[in-house]
Amino acid sequence: MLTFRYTEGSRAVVYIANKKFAWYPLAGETRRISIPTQIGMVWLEIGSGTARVVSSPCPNKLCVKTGVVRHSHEEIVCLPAKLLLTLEGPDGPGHMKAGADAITY
Amino acid sequence: MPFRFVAPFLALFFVNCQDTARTHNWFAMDTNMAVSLFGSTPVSDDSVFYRLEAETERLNLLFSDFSSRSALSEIKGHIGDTVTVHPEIYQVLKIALDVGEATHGSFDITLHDLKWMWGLGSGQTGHVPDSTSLDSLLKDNPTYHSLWETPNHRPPLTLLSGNRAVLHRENTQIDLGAIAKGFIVDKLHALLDSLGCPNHILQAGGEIRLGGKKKSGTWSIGIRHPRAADSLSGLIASITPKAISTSGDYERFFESGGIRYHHIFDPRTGKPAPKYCGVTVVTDSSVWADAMSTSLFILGPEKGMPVARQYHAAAVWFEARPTGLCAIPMPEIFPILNLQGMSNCSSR
Repeated sequence: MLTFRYTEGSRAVVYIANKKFAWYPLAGETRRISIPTQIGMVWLEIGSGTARVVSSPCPNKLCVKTGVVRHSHEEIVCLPAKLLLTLEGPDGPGHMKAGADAITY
Repeated sequence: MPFRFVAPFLALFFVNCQDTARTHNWFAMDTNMAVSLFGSTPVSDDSVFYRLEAETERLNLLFSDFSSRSALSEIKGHIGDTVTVHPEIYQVLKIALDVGEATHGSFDITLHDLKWMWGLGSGQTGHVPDSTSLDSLLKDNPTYHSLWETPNHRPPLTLLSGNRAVLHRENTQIDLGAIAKGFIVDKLHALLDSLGCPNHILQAGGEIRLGGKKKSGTWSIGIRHPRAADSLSGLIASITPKAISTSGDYERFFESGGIRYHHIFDPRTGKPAPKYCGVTVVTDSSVWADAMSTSLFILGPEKGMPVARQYHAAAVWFEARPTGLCAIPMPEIFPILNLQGMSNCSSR
């Protein structure tokens, strides 16, 4: 069942205004994710072991220009949106999050 | 017609024909909501997300018990009163009462005051109530479950035709918190179908509803580990679009004197249901999955399995023991559940 195993950054955690908003596994098919922020919608693209900001309503587009991140502790910041995307290390052995489409809790 | 004239129109037509999943998150009902769309959609993704948020907002207001003027508060009064019920609340009440009967009252929609006494209402801080207040609350208004084996038991209310109901509890606030989220997910699922987005995943906290088909064939849904938020205790693999719901003692709880007090109450004792730390249910719609997961958490596997079968639901219970987590799966869930070698509680 565990077919994906990233030894690099294994999930993208999104913070808005210093609060953890959501996290997404880096593994699996590439998908687009919209994050509502106080300046409007920021679109992310996450999958195949990488994450990037595709579009953002902020003026300078620094977060878009950051490009792709793939290693643990790499970050993408969009200050006007108060958005921080950071990559966290892999889950411990035996964990199966990599392949899941969603998590029930 | 030369292709160079047709191409721009083709491009417009296929503007949303993408295989990349698009996920949108929003916050409602005290929980994170999320939708992922797969494949082409006839309208823009943003307009779909907007419609979903608006529909969630409308239904959330309908089912919230904060306001004394809400539609739910209108189902409150004296014993014997006949009240008019909002048609969508009526639909949910019908299922809630049905599950209440099947579970001998363990699924109870009258625990609002109990929840608040424990400080587990929305925005409250949890605390253990003193036993006198707890006893008098249960004595003044005995729960359906506690009266089940006595001749004078009856449900909190009886539904009449024409969206009306007769009340059997004195001045009691109805709380649909254990079922409304599932109903809302089903409504959003129907909305997505009507907007031409049949292939999707909807999520409201622990409620997940799969829609349509997944291109790669199999949906894969992780079950959160009850004692480690960042790991999974199992994985459900399904090729058919199912509804999945989990109830756990880790969602809303507090600890006092080394004991964990959570939000799923056994109506017989007025205390958090002991023994199990999580139940995951797989069935065909979220409203049933939601009601079932709460009920099966309280009932446990022995009493719960026959009830689950009655509603064509498959379930797995998790128990936290000092030696680690173990599982009690129903045979019906075996074909779609991967527990990665976790031991069965009964084999220990």
